[in-house]
Amino acid sequence: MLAQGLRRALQRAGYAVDVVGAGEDAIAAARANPYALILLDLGLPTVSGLEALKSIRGRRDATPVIIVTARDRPEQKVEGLDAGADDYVVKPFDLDELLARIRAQIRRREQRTSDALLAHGVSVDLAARTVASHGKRVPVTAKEFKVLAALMRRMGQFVSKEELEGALYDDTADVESNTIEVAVYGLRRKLGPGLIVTARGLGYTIPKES
Amino acid sequence: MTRRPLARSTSLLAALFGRIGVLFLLIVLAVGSIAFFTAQRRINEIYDGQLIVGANVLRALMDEEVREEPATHDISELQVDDAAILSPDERQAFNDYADWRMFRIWRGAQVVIRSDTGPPLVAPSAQNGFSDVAGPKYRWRVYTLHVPRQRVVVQIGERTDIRLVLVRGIALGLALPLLLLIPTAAVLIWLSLSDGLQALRTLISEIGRRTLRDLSPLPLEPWPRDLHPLVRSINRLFERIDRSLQHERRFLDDAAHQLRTPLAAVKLQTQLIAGEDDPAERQAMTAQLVESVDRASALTDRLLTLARLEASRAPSGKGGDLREETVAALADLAPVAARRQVELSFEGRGRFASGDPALLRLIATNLVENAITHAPERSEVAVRLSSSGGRHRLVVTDGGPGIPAGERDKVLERFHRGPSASPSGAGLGLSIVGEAVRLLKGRLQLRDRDDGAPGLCVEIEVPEAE
Repeated sequence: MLAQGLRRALQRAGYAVDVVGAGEDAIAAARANPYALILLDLGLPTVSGLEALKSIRGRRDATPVIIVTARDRPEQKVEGLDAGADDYVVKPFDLDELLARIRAQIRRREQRTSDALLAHGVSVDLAARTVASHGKRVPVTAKEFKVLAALMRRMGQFVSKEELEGALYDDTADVESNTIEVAVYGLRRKLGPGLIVTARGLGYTIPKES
Repeated sequence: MTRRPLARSTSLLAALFGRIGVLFLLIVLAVGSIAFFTAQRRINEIYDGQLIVGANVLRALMDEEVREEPATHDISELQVDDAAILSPDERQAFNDYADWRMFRIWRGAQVVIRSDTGPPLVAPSAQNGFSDVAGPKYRWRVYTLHVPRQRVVVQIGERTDIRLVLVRGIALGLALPLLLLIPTAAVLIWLSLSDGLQALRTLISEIGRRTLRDLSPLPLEPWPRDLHPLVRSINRLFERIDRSLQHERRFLDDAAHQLRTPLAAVKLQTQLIAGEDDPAERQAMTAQLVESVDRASALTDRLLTLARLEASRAPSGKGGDLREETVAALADLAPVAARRQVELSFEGRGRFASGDPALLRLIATNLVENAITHAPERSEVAVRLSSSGGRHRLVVTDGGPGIPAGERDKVLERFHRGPSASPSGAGLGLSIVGEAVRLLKGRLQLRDRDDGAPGLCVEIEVPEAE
C-alpha cells in the first residue's frame, strides 16, 4: 500500500520509479540500474534493509539512499546513517518534505546548488517543474520536461537515447520507440531549434554557454 | 552436611578474619603449652638425674668414710675451712647454692651425717627412689638410696622452687615472643585477606560499571581461578539479558513497522488526493485510501483479538465442534483461495466436540488463511481432522516454502514475519492461533510435511469435550 502510494507520488513528481518488496530484490535492482536515488525501508522480509544497504555500499555504489522506516530511536538512526544512508525519514512522513529531501540528495549528487537550471535563456525549475524562456513561462508535457531536465542536468555532455529512456520510463511502462524524438521535436519547437544538439551515435546535448 | 553460609550481615573479610584468628590463637596456645610442658619434663629429668648422680657420689665417698671411721659426725665437723680457697663472691655463690640443697646419711634410724638444710627429719622409706617432702618454708625433692653393705641410707634433696624458677623463666621466654607474634600475625592475616579479596572487590566494581549497552562477556584472565565460576555465571547472565533485550528490541521494531506503515500509507494517499486535480484519478486514489484504512483497521482488529486472548484466563464459551468451525472457516476463505488458484481439500467425519466455538473458529480461520497466503498458485492446502486419546487434531498442510526449523519458535511471536511473509501480513496470525490454543489447553506444533515435499504442516491438538 505504502509502496504503491509512493510510486504514484514520485511519478507525479516526474521520477521514473521501480518498486521491489524484498531485500535481495533491492540489492539486485540497485546492481542492475543506475538509479538517481534509492528509498529504502528497513523492515523488509529476509534480507533486512540495513543488510541491503551495506551490500550496496559494499560495492562502492554511491547512489544516494534515503531510509524510510518506522524505527525512530536515535541509535537506530545512527546505525542507518553509519551503514551508508544519506538521509533518514521516519514513518509516517510528510510527502512534501520527503520530495524536498529527495531533491536535496539528487542536487548534492549532481553538485548543484539549486533546483533552478539556466542555460541559453531557458530556465528549468526542477522543484516547481516549470520551464521558462527569457522569463516567460512555457508549457511543456511531462515527457518533454523529463528530457529537458535530464539534458540540463548534464549540460555539456552527450546523453544517449537509452539513458533518456531510462529517465522517462519505469518498469511498469512500455517503451515506445520514438518517444524521445517526439519530445525533442516538441522542445525545439517551443524553445528554439538551437537549444538541443543531436549527434548520431552519441545522443543529445545542450552545449555549455561559452 | 549442609553448608552454612557465612553469617548474613557480617562482611566476608571480618568473618574470614574471625575464623582464621581463632584458629591461629588455638595453634599459638597449643604450641606454647606443648613447649612449656616439654621443657618442664626435661628440667625434672635433668634435675632428678643430678640427684641420683649426687647420691651415688656421696655413697662412694661414704663407703670409705664409714668403713674407716664409723663414728657420729656433725656436719660442722666436716666443714672445711674454705675461706682459704674461696673468694667472698664464690663463697656467697656456694652458700646460695648450698641453701638449695640437702643431704643426709642414715644408719638405721639415726642420722649419721647431714647438711643443716632440708625438711624436718623423717626416717627414710624402705625403697630407693624419689619422694616429695613438705618443709616449713619449701617443698623438697628427695632421692633415697639404700647401701645395704654398710647398712646406710643416703638421702640427697633439692628445693623444688629452683625448678619452678627455671620453668617460669622458660615460660616467660616463650610467652613474650608469642604475645608479640599474635598482634603481628593478626595484622599480616588481615592485610593478606584483604589483599586476596581485592580481586573480588575489583570484579564487583567492574560488574557495577556495566550498563545495558555493554553486556559483552567479562574476560576470565585477570581474575584468580576461584573467581572463574563467578565470572562465568555473570557472563551467562549477561548473555541471557542481552538475548532478551535483543528480543524486545526486535519486537518493538516489528511492531513499529506494522503499526506505522499503514498510517504512513494513509497519510501519503491523503496528500496525493489533496494535490490531484483529475477527478478520475482522485476517485481511484480514494479507493486505495479506503483500502489502506481497511487494512489498518484489520490490523487493529487482530491486535485487539490477540490482546483479548492474552488477557483472558479461560475460554468464555463451550460446546463448539471443531469440524463445524473448520468447515465454516473453509467456506469463508474459499473465495480467497479461488482468487489465488489454491485448491482446498478437507478430510474428517463425525463429531469433534470441543471447547469455545469462537476460539475454534479463530484457530481454523487463521491457519487456513495463513496456508492459502503462503501456498504457491495452483497448489493445494489440505485440512485434516482426526481424534485419538481424548484429543482432536487439526492438521493444515500447504505447499509453500515452509519455515526452517530454527525459525519456528520466532514465527509464533507477535509481529514476526518469516522470510516468506506476504507484504500485507502483520505477523499476528500464528500468535493468535498460539494464544487460542493455549486458552483451550491444547498444543500447537509446526513441522515439515510428512511426505517430504516442500511446505509447512501446522498441527494443533485440543482436548475433547466430555
